Amino acid sequence: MCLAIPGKIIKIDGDEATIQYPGETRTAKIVDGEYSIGDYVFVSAQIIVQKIPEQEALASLKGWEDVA
Amino acid sequence: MLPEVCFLRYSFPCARVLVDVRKTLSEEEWEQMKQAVETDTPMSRDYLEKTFPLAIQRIKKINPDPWNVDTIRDYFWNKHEAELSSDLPPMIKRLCVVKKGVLEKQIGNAFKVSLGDNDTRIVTALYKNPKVGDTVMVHYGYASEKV
Repeated sequence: MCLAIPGKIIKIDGDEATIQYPGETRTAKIVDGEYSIGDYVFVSAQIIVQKIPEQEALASLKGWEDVA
Repeated sequence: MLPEVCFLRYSFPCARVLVDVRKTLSEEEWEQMKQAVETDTPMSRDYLEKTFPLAIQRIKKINPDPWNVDTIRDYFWNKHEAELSSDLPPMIKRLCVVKKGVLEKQIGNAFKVSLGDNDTRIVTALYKNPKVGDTVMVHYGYASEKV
């Protein structure tokens, strides 16, 4: 997990964020930018790539369900 | 560059979709693929054709012989976007499109890259010796190659 799916930050400890995905949590590194608990993010190679607006993130989760 | 290596550099970023969403690829296979892409090790054409059937099918529309670096680049750089379903949410479409950008800042092993349109990402390079100032092709969270 989870290149394809946006996740929600549920905890931040220094530069490590804990991210909630459907059915599991993962950690990823914050290397640049400001993030807060509740932000939706896109992760790749255990690094946060960018923040995703909540509405888009929720639509994406649904979108993937539809293409799967 | 070998066509198998070029193909994997652009298709590997999509491989999580196969693991997380379509469930056609196992975690073990994804790890092997990651190792191959990081070391420029060519995977077999049969395996790649079986694993990424949609991409291969679409590349074959451009050229019946898909194992050609120019054709692979033409597909991912110019034709991949048109193949994406218009129903996909904007975030997925934005990340799926291969875009050109410049590595602006190095942070650990990752790089910050601005792709215009408020699209700034932290990416991992899939080629050796990436440096600030490199012009790269970005797919999802990866810089697939320097151009």
